[in-house]
Amino acid sequence: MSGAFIPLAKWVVLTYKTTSEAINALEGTALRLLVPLFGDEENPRAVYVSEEVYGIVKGSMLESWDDERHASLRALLDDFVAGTRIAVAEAPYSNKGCATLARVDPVEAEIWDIRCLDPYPGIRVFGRFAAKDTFIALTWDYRENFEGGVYWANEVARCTDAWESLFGTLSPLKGNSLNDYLSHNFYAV
Amino acid sequence: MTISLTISTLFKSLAGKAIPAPTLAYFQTRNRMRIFDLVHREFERSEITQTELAVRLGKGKDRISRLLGAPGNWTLDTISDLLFAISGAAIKYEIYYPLERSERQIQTKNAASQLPMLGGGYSTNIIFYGAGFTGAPKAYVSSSETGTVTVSNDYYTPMALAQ
Repeated sequence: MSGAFIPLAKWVVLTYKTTSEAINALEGTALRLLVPLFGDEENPRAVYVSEEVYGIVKGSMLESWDDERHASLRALLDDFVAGTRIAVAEAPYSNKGCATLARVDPVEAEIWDIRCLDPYPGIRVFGRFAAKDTFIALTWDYRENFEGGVYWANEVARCTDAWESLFGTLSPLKGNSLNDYLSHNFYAV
Repeated sequence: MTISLTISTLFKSLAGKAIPAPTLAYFQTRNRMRIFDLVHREFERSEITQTELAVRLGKGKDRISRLLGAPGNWTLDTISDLLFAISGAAIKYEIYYPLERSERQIQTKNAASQLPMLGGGYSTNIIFYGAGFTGAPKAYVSSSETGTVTVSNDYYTPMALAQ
């Protein structure tokens, strides 16, 4: 994205009063609603993917994915949307080895990563909740690329930039407990 | 049973070819998550502790904690052991064809009215395995519409297990 475009995008999104209004405007262009490949039309959770994330999850049965990990991630996201039970780590640095969704340090950034653990070493998708049960998947990377705190800090910054390029100064959902982020079928780890 | 154009097209295109590994990976992950969902729900519904489950299975609590911690590549024996030890449940097998339904791509049209955040309604019926999120205990969990594996604890006899 060119340097000249960012201010324009931010100026445009500043006209949005709410994240839902922004999603309505961005959906189909900068954001895509992820609909499970198989299942029902209505789902208890929603995931919107950025163009970056869309690039690795857009496969299908007829035109398969580039990588097994991409396919596995798509299956995980599909089931996340469909309401499958997930383990959630609310506190960064907690024992989140099994968590599917985990909050990233610092807490104030309100960035969460969806952890696709299999095939090892998996993929991490970073994003923010726009509203309860509505996750905006903004960036991703292979797990093996995460080495040290600097990388995580950079990823937080990259995710934050991606959010701001879409939503401007609108804040993500800030909850007091996991129940403020997800309605059901999760458990804390 | 009617096989849709989608599945026909898929398998025609695969004639003489290997199914792409990522396609198999998609369903592997899907199944791992769904059997985990099934077992974990049954565990919560049973209201037994991990310690009690560990005793019933003659395994360490750490092992049980790991198993119930995240979806994994469980063996059939592991699934069988867990379900029976949790509540005397057993698996009922059923095959269905997810490709029967037309495969959908990531949606690009505006569908915000369906979203939870915007007040779009959803029904517990859309959740696979039928028991849904109502919290209402059911002795029999089955959904031919969406579930590949169902669990029945028609013969749930906690007293027998406790002995």
